[in-house]
Amino acid sequence: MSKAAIGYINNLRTAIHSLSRWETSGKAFGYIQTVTDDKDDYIYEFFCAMKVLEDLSNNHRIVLKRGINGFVFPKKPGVKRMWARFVGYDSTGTTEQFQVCLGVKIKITASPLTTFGSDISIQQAGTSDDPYDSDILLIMDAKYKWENETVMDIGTIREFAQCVFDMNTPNLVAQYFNSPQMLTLMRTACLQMVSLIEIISNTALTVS
Amino acid sequence: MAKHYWVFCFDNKGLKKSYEGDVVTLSWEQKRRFSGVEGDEAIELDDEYFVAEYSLQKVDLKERIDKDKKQIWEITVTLSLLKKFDEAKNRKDYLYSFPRIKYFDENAYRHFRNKYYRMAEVEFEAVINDDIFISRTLLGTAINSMHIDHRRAFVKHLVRIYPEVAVGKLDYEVVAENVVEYIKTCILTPAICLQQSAGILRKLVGDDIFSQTGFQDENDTRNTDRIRQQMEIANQYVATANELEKFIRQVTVTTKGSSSGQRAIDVVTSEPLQIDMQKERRFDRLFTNKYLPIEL
Repeated sequence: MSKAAIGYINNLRTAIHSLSRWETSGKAFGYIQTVTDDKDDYIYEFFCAMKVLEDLSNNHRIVLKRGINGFVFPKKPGVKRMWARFVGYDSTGTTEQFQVCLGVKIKITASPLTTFGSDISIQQAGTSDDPYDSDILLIMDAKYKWENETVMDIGTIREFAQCVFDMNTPNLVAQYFNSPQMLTLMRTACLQMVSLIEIISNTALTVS
Repeated sequence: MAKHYWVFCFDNKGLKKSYEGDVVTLSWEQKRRFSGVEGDEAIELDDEYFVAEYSLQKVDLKERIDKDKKQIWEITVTLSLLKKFDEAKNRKDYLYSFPRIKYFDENAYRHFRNKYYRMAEVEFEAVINDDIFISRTLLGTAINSMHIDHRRAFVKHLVRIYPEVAVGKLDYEVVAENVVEYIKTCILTPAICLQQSAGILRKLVGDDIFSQTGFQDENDTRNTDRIRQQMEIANQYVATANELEKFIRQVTVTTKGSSSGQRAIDVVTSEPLQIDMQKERRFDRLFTNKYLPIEL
């Protein structure tokens, strides 16, 4: 029996060892809150972005464009030209309608030296590699929580609300998006940001 | 006189070895006496593996004074082979059953630099019969298998909930619950998120581009963490890691039942990994006041 226990524990060791680090670089994989309270939750942000893109793909042709670093996404917000971004076309694939960027710094017109790193930003068609707030259609923030029941603190919500204000969203052009679900999501985002954050956070683990 | 138990590190360069059939003679010098006597038992540790069990057939001690006028003992121990293990036993599987061990991961070798060590009977039996301290091994393995960044984050999380752990209190039940919660929240759920994200991404961009996708740190663009490879890791290991909760719950059940051992055994016998409380309790005295088994 004890021999079996050793075998079982060894399987567990291999599984946790492999799952807790990136196979390629050996760096830590997962959600990490460091001693300095710096959070590493780009995997969850990516997951949220994929759910949004999956929905958009029902009515749009989605193409991944390479950045200078290739088809690679940033772990922390960076300069747009370096990183891959998604471009949304109409269903025939001829007209560019919007861009979906992950972790891209956006300049604020009123204070151009200040940038805001948005987890997910939906930018107007043809937006350059140097996006300003006026190029932004929608920003989304993904917040990973330990438990679904955890209530987001008011400071976090206010911070995001201020970002939305800075971006001057909604710059909504309804015809950009044909997906009814996406439209609903965007309206929710603009009118009830708090709910949006909660929706994204809470649905993450129940979506299969 | 009570029997003593020893481990001899056969790969130690200070040990001279000579073989004659099933008898091995070890000789070395040291400043202290060697307290082993005829009839004691010993295990051979070769590199990272326990390989055989011996009895001490003869112990010769000679005293001399060296050129610095210091006392030196010349020791010769004759070991008679009792049993070669069917399979070599990797020492990492037994570390959590040895109370003197403080490093469990890449620094564990530091504990095996000497020529020999004395063991308690229960430690010796842990190796000979594979009767390891299962609760501690399970928890320690779960903790120390995590990437070092996760271990640091886990300790930070645990201390916030259970500050007593910082001063050497160790309630296995509290730790067990928190290990399970941490691994689920910080490793397993992200792995599942990545699995699902990868599935969507592959459908959106096609197999060729999907293989080229990954993540980079802005200040380390030479290393790309590829999404495909990590998805394959998740596909392979998520199910095994998911079982952690089931098994660690047994640690909880077993600990709870420790004042009525028989009941605890009844509770867990239907589970695939059985924990025999009576055997587990043999380790209690050895591990009093031991810190959380974690290497940082």
